[in-house]
Formats: sequence, structure tokens, C-alpha cells
Amino acid sequence: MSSETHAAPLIEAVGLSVSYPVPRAAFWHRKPAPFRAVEDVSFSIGRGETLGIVGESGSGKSTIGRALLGRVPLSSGRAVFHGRDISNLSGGEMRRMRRHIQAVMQDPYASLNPRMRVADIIAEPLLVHGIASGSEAHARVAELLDLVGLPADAGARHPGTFSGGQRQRIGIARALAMEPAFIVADEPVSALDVSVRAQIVNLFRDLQEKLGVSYLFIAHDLAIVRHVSHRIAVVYAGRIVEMSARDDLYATPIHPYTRALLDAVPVPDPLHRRARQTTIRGELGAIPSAGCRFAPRCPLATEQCRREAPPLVAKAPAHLAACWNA
Amino acid sequence: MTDLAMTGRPAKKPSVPAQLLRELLRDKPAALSTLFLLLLVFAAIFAPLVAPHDPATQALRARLDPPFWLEGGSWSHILGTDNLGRDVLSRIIYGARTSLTVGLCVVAIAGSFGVTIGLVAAYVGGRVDNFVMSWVDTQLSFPDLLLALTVLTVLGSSPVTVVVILSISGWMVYARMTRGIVKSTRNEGYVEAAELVGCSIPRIIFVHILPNLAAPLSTLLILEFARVILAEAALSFLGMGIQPPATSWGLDIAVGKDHIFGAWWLVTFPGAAIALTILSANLLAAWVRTTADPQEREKRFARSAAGRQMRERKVEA
Repeated sequence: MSSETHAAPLIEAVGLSVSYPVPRAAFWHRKPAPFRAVEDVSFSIGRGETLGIVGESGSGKSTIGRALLGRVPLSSGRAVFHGRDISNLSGGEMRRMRRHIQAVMQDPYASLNPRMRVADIIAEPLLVHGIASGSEAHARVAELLDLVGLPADAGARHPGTFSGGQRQRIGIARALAMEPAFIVADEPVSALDVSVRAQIVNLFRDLQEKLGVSYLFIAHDLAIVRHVSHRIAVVYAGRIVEMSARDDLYATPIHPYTRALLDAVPVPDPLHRRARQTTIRGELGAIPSAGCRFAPRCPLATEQCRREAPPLVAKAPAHLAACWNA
Repeated sequence: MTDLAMTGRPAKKPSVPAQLLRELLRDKPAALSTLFLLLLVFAAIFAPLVAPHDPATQALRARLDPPFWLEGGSWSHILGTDNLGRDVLSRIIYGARTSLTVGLCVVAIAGSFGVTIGLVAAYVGGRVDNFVMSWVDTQLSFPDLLLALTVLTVLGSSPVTVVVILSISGWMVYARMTRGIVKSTRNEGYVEAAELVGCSIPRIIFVHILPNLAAPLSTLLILEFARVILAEAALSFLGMGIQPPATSWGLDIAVGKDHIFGAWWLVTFPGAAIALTILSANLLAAWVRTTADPQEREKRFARSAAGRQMRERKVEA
């Protein structure tokens, strides 16, 4: 996989922000400030490119994916697909946009209707978008089953008779049915057995090579993201703290949070165990109202960090990071 | 099992109705209840052919005849006659017509109204949901029979009014159940997946959400059917339901209570008809509930398998 720049972005996030209202504790309390789940996130993904998003639980990485899918209202910013602003589409327009933007969901057990046959699940997008029906849809389903590596007779069965990995293949086949240009994969392997994760991740890569589809690949597992992504964005508390080509990020991490994440990856060889230079304590807690959001846990934090939020700027060619001290 | 191993496909299963029938026959109380209800329905539909007499024909010379096995009874009036010489059995058969018709109509009207309201409340949510649910709570806190009596007293009673009033006081349970199920199903992953695929709202509701309602709704419908029959009998007994010359079990009991010491059969047989119908409906509802619940069903299979093993062991010993 090359890390060349993919010209003409397919999908862009421009200053994407999402905030959730926080209910007041009781009616006599003052209304609390909304929770800023995602703030000022910008990136672009080219054709056939994968942007990996890494972050710990609660960092807002799933919300970024949901925002691109139009599942959460944006408080500011916009999502642009093929040069068209898709952030405020009506219900009908959004449904038509689903032809081009699809999703693979995290839980392959919950995301397939147990009452439907696999063939009907995969054919559903074709049917609701009026692309194909009857024998045409049947042929397309057979093609898709083959594409994702399922036996041809799988269509006649119900999802309950498949394993987690196979079910995720069904979910992928459903997402691919309409030949979308872009797929949001929100932790598509985290619910699977470790032994089948690699198969599914490889399937994602193979499909990209065959179909030229772009991914936003969300995960908390650095090894998996490294395997599928061309570029990687590290998210902390709703902001991108570092973004660069994959190899740059792993070879020369800039942000202290990224360094801590990479240092935290266990090394199986005790002789080559790295000295853990950057360790962070605690977990994502209250977000400071001003300054860098990582400052409370950062070993390098200074007065400036607590006062002013660092901008995401190029620290090296095509390597962005948001830190005053790195 | 060998079939499965050889072709990699599950063995050809018997059709769903055949499988259900077999399971029903294994559960004796439920099977007997179903049989009784089917007989009742048959008798109600073909009442003119089944009933030995016209239910309204009076035979003043044969007043208060006892059932055939008692002194003075005769085969022409198997369950005896009432104070006007009308045949008790025929009146019960025609009464079944009234009870079943009222029950079915009320369940159909209240059920469809309640399900629709619950669906709207759950899907729209917010204020609409709050409003509908407070309405349901308010109406549930009213004693429904008292309400029905008041309205019937004012409007005058006719079968249609009885159906309407029982429907108005009976739709809330459906709304509550539907709302609960729809709300929880909406959060299922496959419903979100359907939305992401681009399904329209009606498709999501009818294809992905409502099938989850089938099993609990059928149980509730049967239970409510029994409750409505009881309510109609109560109203008729109190003189505010079905009016003579039409027949109803409740009405017959009301007439019979004046002769309870001289002619016990006047209250006993219509009373038994009510009791058996309610009991059968409840037993059937219990069976439907267990059948529709995969976990309960597994237990049932395990029980029957264990029973079979025990019997086999006994035979060996």
C-alpha cells in the first residue's frame, strides 16, 4: 500500500463539531454547557484511500463517523462529498445519499435482522433504492456473497447460523451492494475473535483494491489500523491531535499522546522491550474548559498548554500535530 | 443429524404449521382448550343447525324443566328449560354467538387502535409520547366497568354501543405494550443498519420493527378476548348490555338468578360456558406465550426429552 497523496478528495470534513446537550441534574439547576464530543475536526479522504481513526473509548471517534453518515446533527462545520455539502440534507436526500456512503457496523450480531434470510438482508439496499429486484437482485447477491468469501448457499440461511466473522462478511456484502464510493467502518472487528480479525481486515483491503472504495476506518487497535490505513488520525477528547501518513506516524510520532499510545503497545520479545519513555496515567476525564485538552495528562504540559489550545499544524511535511512543545 | 453431516444443510424440517400442531397436541391443557374454543366457534357459526330449538321460542307448558338426567327431564331439552320454557342449551349456543362476536369486534377495534397509537407514540417520541402515555395512565385509573355502565345508561344499550364502549375502555394495554416493544426494537443494531441502508420509515416499521410484536400481541389478544367476554357478560347481567330478545350468557344468568333455588341449571350452564371459555382462552394464551418465547420453548423441549428418557429407562428396568 502506497502512501502517495490521493488527489481530489472524495469526502471532506471541514471544521466538524458535534455537541450533545447535557440534561440538567434537576429543574432548579442551571442548564449545563453541552458536551463537546467532537470539535473542529478537519480531514479529507481521497478515492481508494483509507483514513484510520484511532482513539480511546469516549474520544469521539465513533461520533466523527456518525457525523459523516448524517446520524448526528453538527453544531458547526460541514461534511462535503464530491464537492457537495451533505451536512444538512433532508430525510429523502439523505436516503438517496446512502447509495454512495455506506457503513459497516461494529456488532455483527446485532446488526443483522434475525428474522430475515441472508439473501434478503443483502438485497435490501438494492430493493429500497430501486436498483434491482427479482432475479437481477438474486444474481447480484450471489456475486456479493462470492466477493466477501461466503458460500453461494449462504443466502438461503438465517444470520443465526453464522459465526461472528461470517456475519461481519454479510454486513460488508450489504454495505457493498450499492457500490458505494465511501464506507464508514466503525470498529468493524472489535467484536470478533482475535483469530478472525485478520481475515476481515484483509477482506477490507482486498475489496479496496478490487473496487477502489474509500474507508474511514475507526478502531482503538493500533496494529489493525496500521494494517489497513494509508493515513492515520489520532483523536483525543474530540480533537485530532496528530495526522500523517501511516509510516510517518509509526516511525516518528510527534504528539506526546501518540507517543504514549505507541509505547503502550506490548512487545512480545522481552529482550527488545523498549524503554517506556512516555507513559500517561489516568483516563479520559473532565475536559478542561480552556487550553489543550490533553494537558491534564500530558508529561510535557506547560502554562501555555493550559491557557491556549494548540492548533493542528504541519510539524513536518504532510505530518500534522497539535502540540506547543513537540 | 446424519443428513446434516452429509449435505452440510439442516435436514428438511416439517412445515411450520405442522410443527406447531404437534407441539400443541403435546400440551394437553392447551390442546383441550383449543378444541373447546374451536367447538364453540363452530357452534356459534352454525347455531341454527346445531341448536335443537329456537332460543326465543317459549313453551309455557314446559317451563323450568330440569336437565334430562333428572326426574321430569326429557331428551328434547337436554339442559332443561327456563322460566318461559325456552331451551337452555339452544340459548347457550346462541349466546356464544353474541359473546364471540362482541369479543372479536372489541379485540379487533381496540387492538388496531391501541397498536397504532402506541406505534406513533414510540416513533414520534417527545411531547407526543408524553401526552399519549399520560392519557393512557389517566384512562387506566378509571374503573372501566363503571364508565361503561354510565355511558350505556345515558346512551341506551345496543350491541354496537357495547362494542364501542368496551373498545374505548380497552385499547390502552395494546398501546402500552406496542410502545414498549417498538421503543426497545428501535435501538436494535439491525434497525439502525436498515436506516443506514436507506430504508424508508414505513419499511423500517413494517419489515423490521412490527414482526417483533406478533408473538406478544397474539398472547395479549387472546387474554383480552377473554376479558371482554367477561365484561360483556357482566354488563348484560347488570341489564346494561345485550337486551332481550337477543341472547347472552350474562343475560341468562340474570334471568336464572331469580330461580336459583328451584332451577339451578338456569345459572349453572351459562356460568359454566363463561368459565370454560375464559379458562380455555387463558390456557391457550399461556401456551402461545411459551411457544413464542425461544427460551421457554427450549425448556419445554428439554422437559419433554427428559420425560422420554425417564420412560425409556423405566421400560428397560
